[in-house]
Amino acid sequence: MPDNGGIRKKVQPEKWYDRPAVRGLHPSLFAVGSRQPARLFGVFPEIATIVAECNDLTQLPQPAYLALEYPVQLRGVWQQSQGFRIFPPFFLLRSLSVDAATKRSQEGMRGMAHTEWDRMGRKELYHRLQLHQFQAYDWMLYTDMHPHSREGLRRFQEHNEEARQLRETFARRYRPIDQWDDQWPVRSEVDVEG
Amino acid sequence: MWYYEAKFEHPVKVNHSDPRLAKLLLAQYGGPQGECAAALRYLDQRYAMSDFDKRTAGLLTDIGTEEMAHLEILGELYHQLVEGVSLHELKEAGLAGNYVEFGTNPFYINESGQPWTAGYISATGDPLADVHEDIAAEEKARAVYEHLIDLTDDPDVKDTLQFLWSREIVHSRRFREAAQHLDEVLHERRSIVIGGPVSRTNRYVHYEHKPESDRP
Repeated sequence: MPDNGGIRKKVQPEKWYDRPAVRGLHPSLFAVGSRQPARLFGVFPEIATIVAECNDLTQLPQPAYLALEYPVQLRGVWQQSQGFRIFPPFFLLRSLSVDAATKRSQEGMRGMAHTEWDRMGRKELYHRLQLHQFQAYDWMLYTDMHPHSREGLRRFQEHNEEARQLRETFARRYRPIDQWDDQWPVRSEVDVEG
Repeated sequence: MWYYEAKFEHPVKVNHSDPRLAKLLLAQYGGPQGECAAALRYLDQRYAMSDFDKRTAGLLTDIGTEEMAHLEILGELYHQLVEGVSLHELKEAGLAGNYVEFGTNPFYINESGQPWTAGYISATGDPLADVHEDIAAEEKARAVYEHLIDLTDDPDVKDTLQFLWSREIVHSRRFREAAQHLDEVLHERRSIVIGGPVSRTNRYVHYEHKPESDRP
């Protein structure tokens, strides 16, 4: 037996969560605080509880605009859990559906950018930019600690892309948002209607 | 490298001036649990953290950056709360000394006038110690925000403070996840290498990934 200073090497069995098929799953499917198997066959309230634990924003009193976002996330997870219950090849189907949802969402946002934003004044456009930048930032913090979360990455990319387009629209119509001018601080953006 | 955008993370607006509350807000501007201490704490800890876990180092960078945005919100809030206030009201609120030195500008002092000090920051270079310090700092900041919310009746100020309060909770949650992740990464296996070279791997050794000849 080799001399290793009295320390015995502990042979770690292969963990179920290290398997390639499981690695890409959304962390909300795992119990928070442990790597225990998620309630993959669970029903909606259980999944919703896990998601709420994953992201405290669902439990907090937030400005109204945030309340609109998170039910969508819960509904998505619920649909995924239902899909898994029905179809054994869940991983393939789920990845396809997430990609399709991302594409539809991005196309929808691009369409909206040309219609709704044109009707917005300076104040509304600024607030919309502020909203999406904040949400992109929040999802960035989430993906920092959940880098394998496809859902988290998708949400970050959605808000980041929308913020980018809003920033361009704002700059084209008023001024670049990162350009210093005598309008700062932003009190004037809030109070003065475009 | 950082880029600045002339835009607050959350709208800052006050319903009416309140120099008394402005003075109390300095607790979160230049106090021990304040945003300045938090930002500098996280942005300092990330260098050693990147040796152990890149994921947590990235989190420290992102949250430290956001704390800078919160510092900006508090500074603007302070300024709006004292803007247009008479000198008599400033004296009544105990801000005469601040007015003499800083005018209507906030400064890095706490509500009692104690200047900000680097002693507020704890950064040991140890990943587990640092991340637990961060969790505690976020919870203390949350408590201070709750006390501040109790002390104002301005709905606009309450809205801004509640936003900042909620961010402290989200940050705390992320740091808890980081602590859990570090536990898994570092395996909680600590060893002391006597006479060995000073390096980051002396304290946390991944036995599974090291050849047997390298083990202490």
